[in-house]
Amino acid sequence: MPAPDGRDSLTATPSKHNLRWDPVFVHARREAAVIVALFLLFFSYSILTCFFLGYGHTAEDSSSIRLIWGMPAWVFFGIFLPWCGVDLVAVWFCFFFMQDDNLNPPEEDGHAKKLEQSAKETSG
Amino acid sequence: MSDAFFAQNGFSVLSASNSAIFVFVVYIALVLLLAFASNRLRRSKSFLTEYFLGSRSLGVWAFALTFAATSASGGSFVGFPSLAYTHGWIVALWIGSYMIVPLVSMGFLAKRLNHVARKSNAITIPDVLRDRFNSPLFGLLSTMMIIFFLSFNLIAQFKSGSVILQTLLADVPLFQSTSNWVAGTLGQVAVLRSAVNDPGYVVCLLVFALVVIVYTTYGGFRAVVWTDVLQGVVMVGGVMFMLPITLWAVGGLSQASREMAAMVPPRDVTLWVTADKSTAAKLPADDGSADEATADGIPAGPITIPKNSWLTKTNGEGSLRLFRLKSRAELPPHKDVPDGVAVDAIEVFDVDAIKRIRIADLPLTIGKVVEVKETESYGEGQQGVYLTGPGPSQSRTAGFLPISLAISFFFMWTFSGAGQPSNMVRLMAFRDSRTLRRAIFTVSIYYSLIYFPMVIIFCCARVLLPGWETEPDRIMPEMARLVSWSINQPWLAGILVAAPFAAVMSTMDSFLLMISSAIVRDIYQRWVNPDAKERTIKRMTYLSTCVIGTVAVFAALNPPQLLQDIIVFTGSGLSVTFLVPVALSIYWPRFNLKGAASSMLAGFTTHTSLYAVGFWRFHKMTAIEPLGFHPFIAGLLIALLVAVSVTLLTKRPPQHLVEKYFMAEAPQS
Repeated sequence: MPAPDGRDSLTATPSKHNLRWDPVFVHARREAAVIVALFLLFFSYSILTCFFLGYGHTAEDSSSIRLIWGMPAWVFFGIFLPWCGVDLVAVWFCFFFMQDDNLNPPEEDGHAKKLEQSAKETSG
Repeated sequence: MSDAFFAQNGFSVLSASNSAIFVFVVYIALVLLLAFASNRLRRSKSFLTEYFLGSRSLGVWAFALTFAATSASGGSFVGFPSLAYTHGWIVALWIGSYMIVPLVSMGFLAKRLNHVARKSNAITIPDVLRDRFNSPLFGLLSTMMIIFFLSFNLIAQFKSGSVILQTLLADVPLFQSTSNWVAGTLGQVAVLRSAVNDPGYVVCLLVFALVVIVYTTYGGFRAVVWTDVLQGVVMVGGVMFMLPITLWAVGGLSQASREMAAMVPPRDVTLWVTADKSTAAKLPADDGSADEATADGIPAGPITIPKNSWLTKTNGEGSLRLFRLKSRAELPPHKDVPDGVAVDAIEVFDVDAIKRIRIADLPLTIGKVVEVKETESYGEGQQGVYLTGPGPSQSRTAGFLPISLAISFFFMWTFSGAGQPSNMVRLMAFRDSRTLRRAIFTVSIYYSLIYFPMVIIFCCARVLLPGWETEPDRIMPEMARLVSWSINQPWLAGILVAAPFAAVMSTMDSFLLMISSAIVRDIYQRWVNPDAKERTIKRMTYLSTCVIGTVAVFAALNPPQLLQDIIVFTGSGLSVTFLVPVALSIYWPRFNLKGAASSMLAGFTTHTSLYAVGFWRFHKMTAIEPLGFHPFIAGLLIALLVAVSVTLLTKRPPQHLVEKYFMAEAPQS
């Protein structure tokens, strides 16, 4: 994987030769990119829908504003529906896309494993 | 309109207030109990990590609700309802980006921030930045920024809580007598004399502040989290309870929208009011001389017309005009001022509102009515403005939410949420990735159950409680009272008012703790006394939390107007200052100290400059909007531009920092 600053990770010169990009960093960055893309999608849809359906009405046609489920049509299509859509997307993102990563630093993990091992030996 | 709702008017106001207060007191007692329990739990753990971060052990519900409750502040339950009430359905677009705020504000930064914070054992955001770039001075800079913005917000939140409590206690005799005593006492202290205008507010401010300062100081982060869980449940429960009752009371959402479509925005007027000669003797004079009327029946002293009183005037053609006072008025006896005095009011054009209000039974006459000309308003005299964009406005010819501003707020709420240090700290406190995934989903559902329903509730409030443009920040507690009385369960008002109160408390305690941690950890321990013992740190922490809270109380004695303006200023300010440096520091290995510091300063300077110029020009807390966009957009773009360009123009960060925060040992083959 190329380094984010454009240099190939193979040509980077870390002080230790067995280093790689941290998987937590890689996964988190990918998830962040997807989130930004989702934001842009819902932002575009909502703003455009609300603008074209909800703005520019004159006083004369105020009595003919269409209601759906009691709310103005632009609110229903521009806010209510995408809100429900985002909740569904959250299900996908949280339960099918986002990775479970170990967030502890390696030394903390090693210490925790030692404690666990010691506990097992004590309990026999 | 629901006939059943308007048929109910036989309740006892006094018993309603007592039962509501009882429930409210029980809620406060629970909060204090949680603080006590948290303090006991802390004794076996490292003080700082436990006091400020809960030992990084938050599970799903604690994490989700503390995050949600902290984000939903007084602005959400006082400022936001007042906007929905004042401007109508357009506020659905104003708040619309909250549909995706959980995904962005939690998912965008959480995993990596938690990971990075564990690597350096950071407890605060300045800790993270200090260690990430190996620069104590940068940590100090971040600390100063946090203290600056959160201090403003803390004052606004104190006002929020006091206003809510004031509505709950308004009819309680003990509260009224205490307020009168406070008014008399404050009047003798020169610097506090201006607070005499609203002594009830001062009483509520002191009670509210005492509760929050005590439980935050004593309980620390875990108390804050546990109370957030309690408060989170109360908030969503309050909204879910109010929604169906509001819809029933108004006769359905379609009915409410149709009535809103026919409404015309109220306008500011000046009324010339004179006390009647013939019935003046019935009025109690303000100085207690009610029984000392003169021989022709005119009272000896001035007459007070309470704020928010409704008055009517029938014009020559026989049609009725409806007015509501914006401030308390003192009316001298008729003989002293035969032409009357000028009082500020609004004229409400929805004449049907007369069925839902109580006209003040005051023997006085309205003479002249002078319209206050708004040179920069939108929607004046027009129907339909409450259902369409940009929504009515008394201060902007482009309306409440022109599309450029709608775009700004969509970005702002989303990314400002992500950039709040108070939210970032919570992102450092959850237990593991699994907790994070489940919490993001939980908060998404939680926000769906709060924000959109509140738009519905407070649009309906326009129909149920007309004329609150005089004091829109009170609409939430007023609706809570109305809803609970409408089903003859006045004790519910205590719980419903607890919802916005809970929101304010859950935000305030976080801010209080953040400022306290900034002072103790990031200034005292890092710079003044690095070898301080835990006992000293503990004392410093308790002391700083108390002192900060107390100072904020004094600052809140003269409360700011429209909370939402202050909250927007501080929220957007924190984000433009912190979001870019923090995000790039965890995702871009090339990012260096100079880029981070420059970005922080550029964002801060841009944002505060735009507000400073706006304040100078418009004499209120409003910013200049470049190209019609909120200053948040300009601040964020400039911060990002500066971050990238300064970083690329300066030397690379030290390799050991890149390896520490971005690399891991490859598994051995």
